[in-house]
Amino acid sequence: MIYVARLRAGRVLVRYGIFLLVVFGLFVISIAASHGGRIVTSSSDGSTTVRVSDGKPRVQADGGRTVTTKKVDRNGVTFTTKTVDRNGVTFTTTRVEPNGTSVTTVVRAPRGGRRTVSRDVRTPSTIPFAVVLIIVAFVAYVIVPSLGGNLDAEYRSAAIAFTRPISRYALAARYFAVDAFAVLLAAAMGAVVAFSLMGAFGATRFLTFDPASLAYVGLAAAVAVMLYGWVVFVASLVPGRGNAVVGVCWAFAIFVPGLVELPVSGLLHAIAVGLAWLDPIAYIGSIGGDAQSNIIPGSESVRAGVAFAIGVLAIAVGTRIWATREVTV
Amino acid sequence: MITISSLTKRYKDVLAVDDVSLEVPDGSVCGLLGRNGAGKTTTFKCLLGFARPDAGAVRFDGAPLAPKTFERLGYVPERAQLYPWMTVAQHVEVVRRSQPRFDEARTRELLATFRLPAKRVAKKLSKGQQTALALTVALATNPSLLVLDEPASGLDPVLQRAVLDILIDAASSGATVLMSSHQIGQIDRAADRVAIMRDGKIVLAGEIDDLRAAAKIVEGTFEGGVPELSGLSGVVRIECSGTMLRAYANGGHEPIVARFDALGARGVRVLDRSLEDLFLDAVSDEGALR
Repeated sequence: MIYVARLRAGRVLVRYGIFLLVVFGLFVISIAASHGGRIVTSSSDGSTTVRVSDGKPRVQADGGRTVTTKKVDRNGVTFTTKTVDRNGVTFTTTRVEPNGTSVTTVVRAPRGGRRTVSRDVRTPSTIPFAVVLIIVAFVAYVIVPSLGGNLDAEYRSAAIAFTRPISRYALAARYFAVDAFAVLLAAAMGAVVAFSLMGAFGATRFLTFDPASLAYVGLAAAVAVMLYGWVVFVASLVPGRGNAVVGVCWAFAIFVPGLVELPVSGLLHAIAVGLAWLDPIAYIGSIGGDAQSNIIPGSESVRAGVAFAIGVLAIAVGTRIWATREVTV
Repeated sequence: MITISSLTKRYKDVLAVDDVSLEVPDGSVCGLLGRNGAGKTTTFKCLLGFARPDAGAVRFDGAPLAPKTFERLGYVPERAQLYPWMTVAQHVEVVRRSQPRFDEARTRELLATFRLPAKRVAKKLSKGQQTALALTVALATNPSLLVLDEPASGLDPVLQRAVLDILIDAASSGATVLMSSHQIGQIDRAADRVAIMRDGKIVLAGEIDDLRAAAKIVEGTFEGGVPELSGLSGVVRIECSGTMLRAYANGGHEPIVARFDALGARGVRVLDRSLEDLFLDAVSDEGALR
């Protein structure tokens, strides 16, 4: 029966892959559109200069005209915008150096006035690896409830699924193995897309890896287990309605953190916080932020431990109910 | 051999199966008959572990149901429970991968008999084709135990005949077949024994030939009015029509014939009863034949 589990997971992954491709495609299109109609000229020193909008000036609402060029050489990328309007000429040059430092120089030459030069240097901003990890994991969570609902779906094909020479527990265990692999694959696919997009934007060099961010690997996995466990458990209570359970689980997961933020009285707030303990998404918390601001208190490791324990318990109880319930279809 | 002993299953206030005992020996086709809601499908579910009986036991070749039992047990449900998004070929693949006794040649033969398109997904098959696919999945291992809940439902007459032939062949090879059907003609053709259920109980069971031999209709024609007929044992129902008196016998019919003669019947004849007659008697409100 691992064959059916694989087919089911494959169907989910195909839809997920299409979703990722669409996301990737939209980003690529947006990048291409922002560089549309450009003219590229190469110099003997190996640099290239891009004249945006065919080098034709863009007419602004106030009658001013701008021309933007992008130059790429070994020192980095330089964007230069020349704006000519009735007040004079302004050159804005932004150089992004290979180390991520950006230097913006603005030269204003007003008509009949004194030329001014201003300069702004910004050190590179960083992207913590943990942030990328959580984003990748969060995207992969899209498929986790669907996979959790697959076990319940076997109920509707009981005449085949439950008449194979394996126990229902063995069947469930095979499902869990296939689904775990599918989630890892989904995360890998998400990582490929995320890093490709970062590469396209030149943002990979801003990635910073902090060994402490490894705790987020455990947290991301634990949250996935909890999300999956809830679907398995709740679906086991309402056999044959796995799809509805998947929808409700998502609604619950997204709704509850918002509920906690509402300015309501003490009792309602306490109820919302109580519900948050059941919400896998609430365990993610704010990455690298103040632990006090998290709905679920504790370090990443503690939250991961609690989420994992709840997930495993939900899977165990859900499997027990699923494996022993009567087939009424 | 399938042995059901004192099987009882209750759903809340409804006693779906009430102390049912039945034995289907090897090489036998047993037809389970009954009106809708008589308890046939619940009995099958208890057999397969889909429902937990409140009392009683089910044994296959002397052993209780275990996952291993399904290596030699084929099941076709009342409504085909297929994977709607999977193709015919993928259904076959499920069996091939999960059943150690999968018979490739037999499966090809079944697919050809039922003319099933290998690449079509189950949800796009007609009702008859879905039944045929369920049968293919059940029969692909040449099972020695077959539990079939209306196996020919939705099939055209040609395929119905083919399915019955398959079941008869299986039984002649030693398989044990327990099947239900609302088509009494199918049971009459394929089965050598029958069990008739009513309100969760088996009200009539046995070999069809024996039941037929025991159950006769004695018709007598009388001059003038028909006489009063009372005090006769073995008569389950009496019908009067003009000068004709018809007595439905269960057991020996000879005493009835003798009585008719004694009452001055102008003519007496003894008629066989069809399986349909037996069924209708068994499930009628009088519920006579026990």
